[in-house]
Amino acid sequence: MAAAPAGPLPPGIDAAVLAAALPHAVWVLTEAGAIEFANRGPGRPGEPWSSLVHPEDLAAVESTVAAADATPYELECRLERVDGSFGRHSVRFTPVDARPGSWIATGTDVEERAALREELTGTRRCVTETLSLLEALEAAAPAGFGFVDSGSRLIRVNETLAAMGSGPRAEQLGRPVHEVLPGVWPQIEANYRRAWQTEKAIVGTMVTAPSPGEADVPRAWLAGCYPVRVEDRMMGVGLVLVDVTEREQAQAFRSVIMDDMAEGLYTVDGDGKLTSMNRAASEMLGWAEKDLLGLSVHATVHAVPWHGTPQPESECPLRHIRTAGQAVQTVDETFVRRDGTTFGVACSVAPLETGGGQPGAVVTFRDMTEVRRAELEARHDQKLESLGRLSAGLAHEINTPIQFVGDNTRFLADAYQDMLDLLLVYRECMAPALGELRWSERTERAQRAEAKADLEYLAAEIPAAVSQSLEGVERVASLVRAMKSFSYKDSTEQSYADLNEAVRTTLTVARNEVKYVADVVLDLGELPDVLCHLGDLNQVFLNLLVNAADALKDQAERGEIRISSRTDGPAAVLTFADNGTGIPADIQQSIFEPFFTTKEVGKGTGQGLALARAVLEKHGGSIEVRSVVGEGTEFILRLPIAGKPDAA
Amino acid sequence: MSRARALFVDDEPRILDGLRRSLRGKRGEWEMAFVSDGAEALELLAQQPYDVVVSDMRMPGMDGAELLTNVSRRHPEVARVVLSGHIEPEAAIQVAVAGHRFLTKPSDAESLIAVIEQLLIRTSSAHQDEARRIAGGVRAIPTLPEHTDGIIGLLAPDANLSYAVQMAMHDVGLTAKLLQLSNSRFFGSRPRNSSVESIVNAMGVPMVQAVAGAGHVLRPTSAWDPAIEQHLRTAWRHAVATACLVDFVASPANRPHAQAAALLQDVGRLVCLAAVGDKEGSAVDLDAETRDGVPFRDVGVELLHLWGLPPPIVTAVAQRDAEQTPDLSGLGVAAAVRTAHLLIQGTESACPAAGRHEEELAQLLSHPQLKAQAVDWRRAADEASRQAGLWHSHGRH
Repeated sequence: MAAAPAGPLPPGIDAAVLAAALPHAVWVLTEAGAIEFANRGPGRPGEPWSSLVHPEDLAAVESTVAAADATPYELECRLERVDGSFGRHSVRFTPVDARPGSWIATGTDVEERAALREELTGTRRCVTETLSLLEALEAAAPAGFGFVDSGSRLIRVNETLAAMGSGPRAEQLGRPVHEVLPGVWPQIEANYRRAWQTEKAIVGTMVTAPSPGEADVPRAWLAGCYPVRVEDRMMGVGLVLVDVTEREQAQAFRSVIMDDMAEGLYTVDGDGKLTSMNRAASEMLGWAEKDLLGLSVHATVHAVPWHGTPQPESECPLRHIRTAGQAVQTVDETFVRRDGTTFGVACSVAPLETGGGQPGAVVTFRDMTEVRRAELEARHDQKLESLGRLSAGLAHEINTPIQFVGDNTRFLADAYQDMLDLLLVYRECMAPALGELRWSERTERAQRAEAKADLEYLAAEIPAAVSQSLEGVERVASLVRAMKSFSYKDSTEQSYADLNEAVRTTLTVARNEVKYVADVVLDLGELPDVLCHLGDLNQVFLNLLVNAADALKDQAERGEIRISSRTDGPAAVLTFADNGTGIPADIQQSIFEPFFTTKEVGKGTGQGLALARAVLEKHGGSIEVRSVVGEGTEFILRLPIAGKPDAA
Repeated sequence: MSRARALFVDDEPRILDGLRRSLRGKRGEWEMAFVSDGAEALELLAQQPYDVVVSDMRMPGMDGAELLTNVSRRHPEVARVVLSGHIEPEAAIQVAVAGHRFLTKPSDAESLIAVIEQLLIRTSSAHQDEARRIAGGVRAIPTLPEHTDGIIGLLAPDANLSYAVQMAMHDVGLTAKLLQLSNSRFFGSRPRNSSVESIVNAMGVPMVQAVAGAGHVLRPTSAWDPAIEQHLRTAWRHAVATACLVDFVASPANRPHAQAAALLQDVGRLVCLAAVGDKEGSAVDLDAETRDGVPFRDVGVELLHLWGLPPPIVTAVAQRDAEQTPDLSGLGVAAAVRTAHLLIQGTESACPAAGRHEEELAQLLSHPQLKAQAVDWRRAADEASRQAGLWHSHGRH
């Protein structure tokens, strides 16, 4: 395909000059393949051109040459360079029409080009790999990816981001971003512009948009705009949207719980300074969170005012718990409100590792004012209940002696009359007025009168009637004394009391509840006076006694209640045992729970044993039950003789 | 005549000693035994006849209710008196079906003596012991099947006061029981001339429910013989109609007693017919109106007497079929009940067993107390009869 020369060579420019200027090797070859002309090395005239060919390529070259007809052809092979090295050359053989058999061969060293080509192929593969990685990531990550170029066109978009806009992903590409992402774009556009202007990533904007698959459920996304620069040139802005719905929900959940929980909650750092508090805490304490932040919680809200001087923080039990690093369920404490008033709380404390230094703590607390008032009321109710039950029995216990005291007194009145009548007869018999009346006649009159009066009977019965009347009066009196002693009103302070006496008093008061169903055996040992709230303990004794009687009520045979007392080291131990029905093992756990009752509706509020436990705990003592079905039940009460250990 | 015999039971020996001494004045008239528990009392009763037993309620072992229930079954002829120091209403109801009379501790000897002496009187002149035996064994008065629903309705937790009043005023058994309780000293107050309505108001619904419930569980569960049931229904309607009418006939002061007497006029018939087909094989003669040879009326009167209902009521029931010639100054309870009864005999609610006695009725209607009122008595009787019929069909639904 030789093109027509564009004109004759200018003067002074011959073919050799021209050939020397070419950046290629040019050879004129004879028909035999010898070099006739070479515009430069390698190869000199007279040498066979094939001597330049690398021995390993020679066979391939020779077969190509042998197959050649009189048309131009090309081949590639390694040729010897001037410096003796071999280099890959592209060689073109063109027949010389004017000299048939002669060829002009041109050789171009393509070694560099090959290397370049190889490099290009590598680069291309690398780009492909990167792209596939990017696409795989885009498709797989639960995030929206996009790239917006300088013309605000969406150049790249993954499925997740595409789903937030309109139309299929393929159709979104290359179109103005505000058209294809109408819902999302207005929420990001400002950041996009800032990213352009500042060439800095703008992150942390919350965007609401649907997610693929759930078009109706808007989710929360955290959107970032990242400027993409290539060699200091802004190419566009990458968009990354991360789905943070769960995180948002969890956060909302946490804050709802925190703020709506009835318990107060606050956190402190290692130094005991407030780091956060919830609404309930703020309401209960009367402090706004911002006013307390960074202040020592102990100093502001936790002190024990009735001790006069505030407790030093080093003695604060909440601090001890915190530094000990153990979670503690409940401790009863007193907190101070902003206005200086105090209220009782039940706190639980859990350590909070904040990394380094002393651990902080999470403290939750509950206002116990209402609970304690309710406890007080329940105790009052229980007292009324047992009083109501007792009153009927007490009435009977009083009515019985009154009945026989009345009967005896009536008898004594009649007897007095009979005696008086008799005396009058005697006096008459003695009277001088009777004068001559014979002694035997007088004796007979007296004897008649004695028989009428039934003197023997009167002589026997009058003393008995008097002593039984006195006994009846004493019964009523002792009952009234016991009632007075039983309903002894405790002051808030404990005082020393004889518990054996208290047991006897309770027994007197409850006699009518017990006497029809059981015999009571008292086995009361020597007890020192015990520091206690006697009124409360009386109530406990009564509850246990009445329960024992109830357990025996439906027994065929008369039961036995055994009450014992003894000392055991620093404690007084009282037991109330009955040989009644017993308590099944599966409900022994529950009997101390408030409102637990096995009695029928209206027969008990189920407060008795709950109250007993509360009273014993208040005394720093304990109550436990041992029971075998069919054999009986025993309640064991332990009370520290010296009162509650840590009470003043 | 042999001396009356009384048995006293109390677990408290001091009480027995006191009673023995304070009742010593009666030693010429009564033979008295004192025992301290129920089993012993039953033994004594099995050995010798007694007229009256006076028992405490709460005792170890066999309590008073159990003892008296046993006595009512084994020795129905023995009058049963409760002398108790307990004040709980539940306990009161428990004995309400077991005892005839109720006294509370402390009671003075006079009250106890008065009650025992009343109980020693037998109202039936011809059938003293038999009437006492039949009446003594009665613990609850039967009711008609159609009234059972009403009683059950009364036992419902939401029953109100006016419903309780309506039920009590139309139920023979409930009326009798409420009068028995309110006339004993058990509830503290002295017996008053009270209407059933005011008794229910004073007791309150829960107490009335307890009384009705206690009677309810004692009633036989087996169905009546249809002929007997029809017979009872007629008598019942007659009683309700008479009670409605007597409200107008009796003077205001006599109204409570007259009403009660009218309602209870055939109580003897009810308790005798309840025995038809019973285990004891009682001989009930419907034509002669006798049970074991004792007229129904004698049994009824003895029952009301035993239960301590006010004497005007007992007298009016006793004299329902006796010709009345009231004093011009006032009709009195008995004549008022008799007048109302005879007026009702001219209505649909007539009792076939009793006659019309038109002449006597005309005489009674001409009594100044009735003449003074501008009332068409026969029309009033028809209206009362209609009311009674309504109550019946109401009760049946």
